[in-house]
Amino acid sequence: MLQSLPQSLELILTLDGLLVLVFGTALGIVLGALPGIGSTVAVAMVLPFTLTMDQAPAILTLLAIYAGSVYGGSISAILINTPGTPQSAATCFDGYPMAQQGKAGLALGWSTVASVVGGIVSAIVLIFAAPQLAALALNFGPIEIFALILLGMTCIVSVSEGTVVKGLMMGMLGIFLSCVGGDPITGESRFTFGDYRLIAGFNLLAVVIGVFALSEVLMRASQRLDSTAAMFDFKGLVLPKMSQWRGRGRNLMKSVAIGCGIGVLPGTGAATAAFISYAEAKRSSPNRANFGKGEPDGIVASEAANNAVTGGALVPTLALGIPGDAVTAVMLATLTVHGITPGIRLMQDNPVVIGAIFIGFLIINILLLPLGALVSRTSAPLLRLPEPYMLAAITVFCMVGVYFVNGNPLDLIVAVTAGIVGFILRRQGFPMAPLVIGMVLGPTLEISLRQGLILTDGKFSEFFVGHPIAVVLMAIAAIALLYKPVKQGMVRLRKLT
Amino acid sequence: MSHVSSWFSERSVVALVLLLTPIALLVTAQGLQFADLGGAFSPVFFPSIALWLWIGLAALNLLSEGLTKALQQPAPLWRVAVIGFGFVVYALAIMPMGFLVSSIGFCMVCLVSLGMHKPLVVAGFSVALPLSLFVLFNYILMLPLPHSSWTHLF
Repeated sequence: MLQSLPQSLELILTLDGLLVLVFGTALGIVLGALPGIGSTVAVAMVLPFTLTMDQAPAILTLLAIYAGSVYGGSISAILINTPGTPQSAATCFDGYPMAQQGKAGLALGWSTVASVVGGIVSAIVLIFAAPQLAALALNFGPIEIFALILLGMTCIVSVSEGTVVKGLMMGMLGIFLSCVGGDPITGESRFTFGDYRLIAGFNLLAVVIGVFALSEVLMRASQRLDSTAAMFDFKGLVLPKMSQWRGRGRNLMKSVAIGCGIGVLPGTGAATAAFISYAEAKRSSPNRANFGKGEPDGIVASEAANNAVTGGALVPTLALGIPGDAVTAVMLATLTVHGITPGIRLMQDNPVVIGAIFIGFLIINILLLPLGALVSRTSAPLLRLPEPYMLAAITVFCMVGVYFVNGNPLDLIVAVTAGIVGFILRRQGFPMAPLVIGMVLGPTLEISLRQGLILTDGKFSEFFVGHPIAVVLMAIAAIALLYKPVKQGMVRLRKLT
Repeated sequence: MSHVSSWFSERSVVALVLLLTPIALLVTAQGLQFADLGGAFSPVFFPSIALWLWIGLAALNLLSEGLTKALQQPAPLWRVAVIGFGFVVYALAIMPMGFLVSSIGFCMVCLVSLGMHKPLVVAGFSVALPLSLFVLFNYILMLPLPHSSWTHLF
């Protein structure tokens, strides 16, 4: 990786490369600030604009949108008490009360500095941890890969919102959808029902855009739409003074550590990290009595943790090909669109592009400070835009995105169907992230399982003999899967007794 | 707000459909060519595992939905139905009618059904957004969006 650093720098340190980072981050902040869009939809909306770009700028644009949108969510959380992204929900607790006290600019200042620190530390974690993990995984055979994917999937399902059964069902649905099309070993068509257009399978991005973006439009349409939210007077971002940081450094670093740690675990997500970090800050802060009344520690805890997740989530994504969350699942699909095969050989095969991604991600997080100051003020009036216009715009952008992935009209039908089915399932509490992760990991899971069985003459029991890494990974997967139901069972039992 | 908590509810219907779908797919899988190839060589080997697990989980889910008297918040179905139907028509119309015309039509239907009633604003937004995207992609990014079948202009 180090040998290719000069070439990676050449990709970034050009006028085009820097413009991509600046505009991508600024656009990410604006999209993140608009309630209802969220990081996944923001990345999906911008995807078609990257199709004419080279690999590195295209992926960096999407990374800039990702990091920018996670930070941008705090703008609406503070100014209108509506988180732009779910990750910023915990920021409302103290950000909005500060705005009510006439300190909206200062609240955004705390959130910006915490986001920048969280993002930079997570980028450093990514740069050092991902190559180590990838190097370790390079020695894996099909049985170890099967165990690894199984672990990734169970982690994702067991921590997803809703019940474990519903999460697992969505995971199975995702795996099944990934099986539609040509069989990777015999080439036989599966579940295409005679339609030749399905031989290549369902387009992952069409399904992702459907279940996240189009179903969100229907979810919003099914709820009461806010015409325009009340917004407090905001004259610009005010950075906290050094003296105001006294006694808060520990909370900041602890929140960053929580965010990075949770980010590395597949499937946990930034929203979970922000709430855990907020709860920990509330427990341990000397100012705990002020939480919920406009306490800066609350904003710092939430924003440092959710931005620290971004780099952490990219560790399993880039090193192992296991997406950390729904956004990184879209990223993985995007890599494929740009001709890069995700998986354990990603870093080995594409050192220059991956190096550029690492450096670019660090620069993006540094850029959050000046761009946050600039864009938060200019984007604030957009928060007054009535929601119906945003919903119509999201739909049109999504259709453009789906069309451009392959230029296949069938993808439009797939996206719309996924949107309607996703809406029905989401109303019943089914999480959508496991479905997408199942679709992403399904093909690798299938190939590694079938290759492993062919190697062992069809004896699954031999997966446990002579493969200690696989045994450990499968044991952790079993614990991850059983932990939540056992814990819930224990709580019920305790209530009964 | 009214509550629906009877056995025949949206929840139980969804749970039942989620159980019947993998059963039907599993039956279909047995009829596929090469389905009888041995073990891991069979093209339906892996999908069958996923479908069996899905069936087991769906049965558990159906049971738990039957035991739980969960409250279901009714949605303003007409609005969802109009936009959902709009999605389908939009997706089907993009190729024959072109991106511009179909998008203008969808935006108007979407905005009106979501309660936007100022005709000039609705029309202005519905034309401006698709038109700007059409110009951006077709003439600046040089990525052509679908044209209508009756003119080469849009």
